[in-house]
Amino acid sequence: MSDRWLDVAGAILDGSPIAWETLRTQTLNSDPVSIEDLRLLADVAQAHRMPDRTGSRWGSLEIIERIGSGTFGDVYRARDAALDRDVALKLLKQSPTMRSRLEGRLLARVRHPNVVTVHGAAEHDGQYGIWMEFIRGETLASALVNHGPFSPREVADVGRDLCQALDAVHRSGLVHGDVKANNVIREDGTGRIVLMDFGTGRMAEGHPEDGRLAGTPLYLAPEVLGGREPDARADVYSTGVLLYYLATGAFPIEGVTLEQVRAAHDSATRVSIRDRRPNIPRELATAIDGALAPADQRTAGATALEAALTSSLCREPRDPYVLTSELDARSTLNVQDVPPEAKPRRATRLVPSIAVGFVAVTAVVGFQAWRRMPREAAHRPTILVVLTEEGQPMANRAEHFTSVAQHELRTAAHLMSDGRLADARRLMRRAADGPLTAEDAVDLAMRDGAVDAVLVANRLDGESGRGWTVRVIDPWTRSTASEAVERDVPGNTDDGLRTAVNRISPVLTGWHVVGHPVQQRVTTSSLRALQLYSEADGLVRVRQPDPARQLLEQALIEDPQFASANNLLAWCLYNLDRPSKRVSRCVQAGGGFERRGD
Amino acid sequence: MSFETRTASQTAADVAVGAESTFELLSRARAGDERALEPLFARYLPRLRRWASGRLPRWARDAGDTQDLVQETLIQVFKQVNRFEPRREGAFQAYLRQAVMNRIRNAVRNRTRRPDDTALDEVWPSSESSPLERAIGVERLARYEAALSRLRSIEREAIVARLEMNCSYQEMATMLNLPSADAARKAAQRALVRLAEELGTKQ
Repeated sequence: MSDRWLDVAGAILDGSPIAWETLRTQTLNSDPVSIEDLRLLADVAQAHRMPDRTGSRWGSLEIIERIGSGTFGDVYRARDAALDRDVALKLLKQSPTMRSRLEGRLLARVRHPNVVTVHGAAEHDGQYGIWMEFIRGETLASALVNHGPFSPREVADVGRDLCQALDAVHRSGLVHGDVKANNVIREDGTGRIVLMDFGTGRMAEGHPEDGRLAGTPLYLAPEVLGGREPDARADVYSTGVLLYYLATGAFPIEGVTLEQVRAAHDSATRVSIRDRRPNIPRELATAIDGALAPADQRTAGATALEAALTSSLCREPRDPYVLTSELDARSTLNVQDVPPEAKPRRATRLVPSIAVGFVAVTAVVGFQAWRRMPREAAHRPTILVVLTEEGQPMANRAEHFTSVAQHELRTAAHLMSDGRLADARRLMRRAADGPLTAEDAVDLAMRDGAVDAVLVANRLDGESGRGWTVRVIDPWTRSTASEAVERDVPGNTDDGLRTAVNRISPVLTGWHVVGHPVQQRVTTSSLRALQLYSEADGLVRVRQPDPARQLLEQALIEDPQFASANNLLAWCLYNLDRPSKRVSRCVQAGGGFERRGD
Repeated sequence: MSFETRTASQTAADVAVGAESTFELLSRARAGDERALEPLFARYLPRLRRWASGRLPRWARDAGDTQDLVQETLIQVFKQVNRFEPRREGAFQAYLRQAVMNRIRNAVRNRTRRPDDTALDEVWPSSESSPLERAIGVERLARYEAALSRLRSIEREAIVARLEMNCSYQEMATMLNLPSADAARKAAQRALVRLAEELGTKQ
């Protein structure tokens, strides 16, 4: 019996992937076994592992569609006809242990908006299933892949919600044990962060012979990798890994196999989060580092981590409303206390004060702070580099050309002595040859909030000749700030790219000096809201408050908590001479005012 | 490949289920100890129900009278347990599988079409075929069954345990009287290549 067939048999039995096409090319007619027959056996194995239950019933639930699958089993959207609602039904591959069943029951009692609500658990047809609240949204893992790393503000916000969720879990005497990007969903529309999947990671994790631990070892605390039972501190560690991952797209400790991950822990080869992404505020980095510390020095619990994240947000210098403390007490008001209907006389008296107060805020927070920005040596320009080919995503040698462009930028005019050049593909965790358009990169830059410019190098290889065009795009206005074309050079060599990049580099140097103020003060997780806000910002600069107002109102539908949009809307309404009530509401929502004394 | 890493829950599952071997339980049951039947049920009922759910057509899974077909079959087998003297646990599992398979085939053959099924079939055109038949194809599945039946019994037991019942290699080692999980995996590999060869021979 040849070793090759035994290996294939092993892969079928283990359920590991098989490169059938490669195998087919290596097969001879004289072989005693045919590929088709092996495929039949692989299909039989697969069908027994987890048959697709779509269209069938499980207990009283009607299974509608498969929405996910993993080592534990499959997740379906199912219809609970009795209660006329959709639920998420997780069918496990293996029956859970008694302990997991008990945990499942306890978890069903945890009630928290950031924790998925478990409706029930039962066994039908020999299959154990848990049904729970059905949430429309995307996992943080897919959000990262689709939109790139999260802004520091988003990271801290997500972290705080997760800490509250974990606190609720821990207070029930339970441990989640599998906090990771795939287990957290951001609900469409509301943006609610929901922690999923507890316990199931440990209820059924496939065959232990595979040498894999439950979940991915990248999230596991070193003491858990060392064999200790996970506890609340281990959940804090996993949360730290998740936040690190959301901010950078990379893991603090990396490795392909369990052994490599263990070795990396032992030799303490963690890459500091600020080395990966220098624009992370120091306080946020400290909060995340605290969660990643060895067990005895780690942040004491979910509540403590939440507190650290909250204070990191308050100290974030870009946060517009922190600067209200610099204002004269007389110009700050809390309009909430004074409903105009109830106290009309005071209200009329107050209107001008509100307006004055707001103008003061805008003046101080807005312009003064902006003007101060470029002088801060701390501002490090970040430039995203993306390569295309005749306008299409570049398929071959993209990585090579990216490094050529980066090298040129670094050397030209010492532009990047303290800055950051990012490969957009890497930032988005796409494969080196994965498709990425200039459009994607601009979206990513805008979301990131700290990317100053996007450099798009486009290889020409058509009728118009060979060569390169290099463009610098301002992600904020989506306009081209500079462009250089090098024709009649061989498009597949580095020289044309070098020359073109050199020609645009002075523009980027200018960026370095000026900085990009607008991006420094906006915070929202909605890309659409950001785009609307940026458009409105442009209109406000040319004194067109009315069209700007409409855009801002749309932006606030996308994200009602978007403080900067509220502030700018208040400015527009004031300039449009709208009723004061709306202005005050916007100012409240924007958080721009704070009561000082009485 | 390393077989050493075991997770906490798997160990817990083994302790919960593997306190007493099937072999010991069967001996006790044969000697008339009825208390031995309950752990046997607990061990095989969920596994076989899951296995059967892929092989029952939809109408059979929905109908109340066939829902507990697996349980009924097990009760019958256990009633006559003193007639059964397995050489290995694996043989016992393969035997149970065959018993349930026969019951399913009987149920499908005996099915008399009820008038209200027509409406149902319009919504569910695949009501006649089982999920496994839809996933693999009726003809291919039949070829697989036939080839499986031509294997030596220990080979068949290994295939059934791993491919159909999703047993771990450690469980298989106990079932097939083999010294280690590694040995069980090797035995299953050889059995699978044999099965592929058997599929290639014309009958």
